[in-house]
Amino acid sequence: MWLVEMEEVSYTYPGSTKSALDGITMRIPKGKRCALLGHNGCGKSTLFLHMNGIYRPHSGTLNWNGEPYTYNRASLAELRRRVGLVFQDPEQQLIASTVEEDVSYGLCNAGMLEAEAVRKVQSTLARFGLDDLRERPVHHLSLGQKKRVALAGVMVLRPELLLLDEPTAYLDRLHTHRLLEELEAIHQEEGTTMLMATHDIDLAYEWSDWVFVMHEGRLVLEGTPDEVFAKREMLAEMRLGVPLLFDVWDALGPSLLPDVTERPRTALELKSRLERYVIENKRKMR
Amino acid sequence: MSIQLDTIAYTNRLRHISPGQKLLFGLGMLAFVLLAHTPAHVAVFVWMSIWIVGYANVPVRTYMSLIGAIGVFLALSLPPIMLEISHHPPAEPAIFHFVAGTWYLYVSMNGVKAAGILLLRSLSSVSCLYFILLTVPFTEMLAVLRRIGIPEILTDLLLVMYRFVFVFLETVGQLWTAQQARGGGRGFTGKMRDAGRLVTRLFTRTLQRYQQLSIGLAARGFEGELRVISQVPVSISKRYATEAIVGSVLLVTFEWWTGR
Repeated sequence: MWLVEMEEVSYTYPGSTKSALDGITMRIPKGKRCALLGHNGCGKSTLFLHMNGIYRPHSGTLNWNGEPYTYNRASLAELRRRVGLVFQDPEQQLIASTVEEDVSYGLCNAGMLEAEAVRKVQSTLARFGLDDLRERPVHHLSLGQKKRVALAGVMVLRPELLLLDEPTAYLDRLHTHRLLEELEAIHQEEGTTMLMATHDIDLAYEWSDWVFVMHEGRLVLEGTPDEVFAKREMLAEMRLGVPLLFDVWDALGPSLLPDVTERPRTALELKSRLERYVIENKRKMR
Repeated sequence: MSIQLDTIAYTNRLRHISPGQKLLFGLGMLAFVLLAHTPAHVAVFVWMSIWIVGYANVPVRTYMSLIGAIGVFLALSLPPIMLEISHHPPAEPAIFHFVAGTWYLYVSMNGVKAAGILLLRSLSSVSCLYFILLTVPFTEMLAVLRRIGIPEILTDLLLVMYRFVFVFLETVGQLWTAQQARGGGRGFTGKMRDAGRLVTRLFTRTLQRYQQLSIGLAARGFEGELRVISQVPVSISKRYATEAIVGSVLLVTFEWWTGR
């Protein structure tokens, strides 16, 4: 049921007086696409680094699949293969000099046989549309391409949990759209559990099955997107706001289509609801 | 400039020839240049230029500007070799001489000859080095080093340094552009002050980068060793090997014949 469970986890950076994580309790449901909302510096990245065992909590516990985290060498290596982390800045995780070599890096660390690793690298490159860039050195790529390579380098290991730190930061609409399509395909094909840190509430509303809201190192809200965004006062207090579509539907929905209970999550869904309203209305007019 | 060199190394027409073959040829020619005499130097320079521009298809303009850059450097170092200052009048035939009080300043025939020999020797060895730089990507050079038994720790360090050169250059570029955009770099003192600030910022940024990269590596399961799989199809080209061997034999014969 839960992939990762965090109980009362606290962490303070050395030399800082304020806790980055302040007794946070959080459970990641298996197989879901989760969004983690919060302002810059609310502890999202610190949380991620705890989930794949790079930081150890100062107090509190973490469980993976019901088993407590152990921090010896072998289990950490295993954990990091199962938890893929895609950083906000791809430069932070690209290490080898060509695209193909970089994608193979994680596989080599996992100690995979060369023949099998080569096969996996090939299929992953094809899967992420990186075939043409195989031999290109990483520093010749654009930001969008680097992000794709970083994601490919993580996904080649088929992690069970994919952590995405602001994956759409600095990306234009086209590349954001492409990235979301890729994530959708991964979710469909492999059923990977995903946790995306973002401050784009519209994106979180459209994309996620489950929403976490963090504020000052604590988990303050969680639930389905509809449940979370219905708590307007709380969100307003944290100055996070409510997705535009949510607002639009609140203004239109109850008066136009009072019998529709499911809210539209994308602009397309909103359009189809409104079209239905227009058709029904014409029928009534006749 | 280093980015351009790197791009060419990855895109030139000899890319798919075994890096070992190219390195062996380049280094072999370099060793030959160090032993040979002037006529052979000219021959090596011409031949290497044919390899670089003709076979590897490096744009002539790029190659000329590379040679030009070295040329300027060499030209600046020649005058001290030609020019001689002495208390006594020149004993050897001088092309030009100038008397200042009790001092004689002159350029001798022998000095000019020595400078010419040095210039040609430098240019031909530089052409061998450019051949290696322009046709063998750095990563493949590392692979060759690893194969001949250089310890992994050294090749790993070189790889990380190589990656960082580009991150570093990009950061310098960004900082510099930001300074210009904010109206920096006015006048000589302003430029100096800005350069100082740039270096300070660069230092902190580099340390941050280093920290980020070590977290990034840990997240990808770093186990103390940077292993990747390199799958670029390379082959030993018979045609080029034949030309290299025949040419080298001819050069050695030529050197033996002229150097007697």
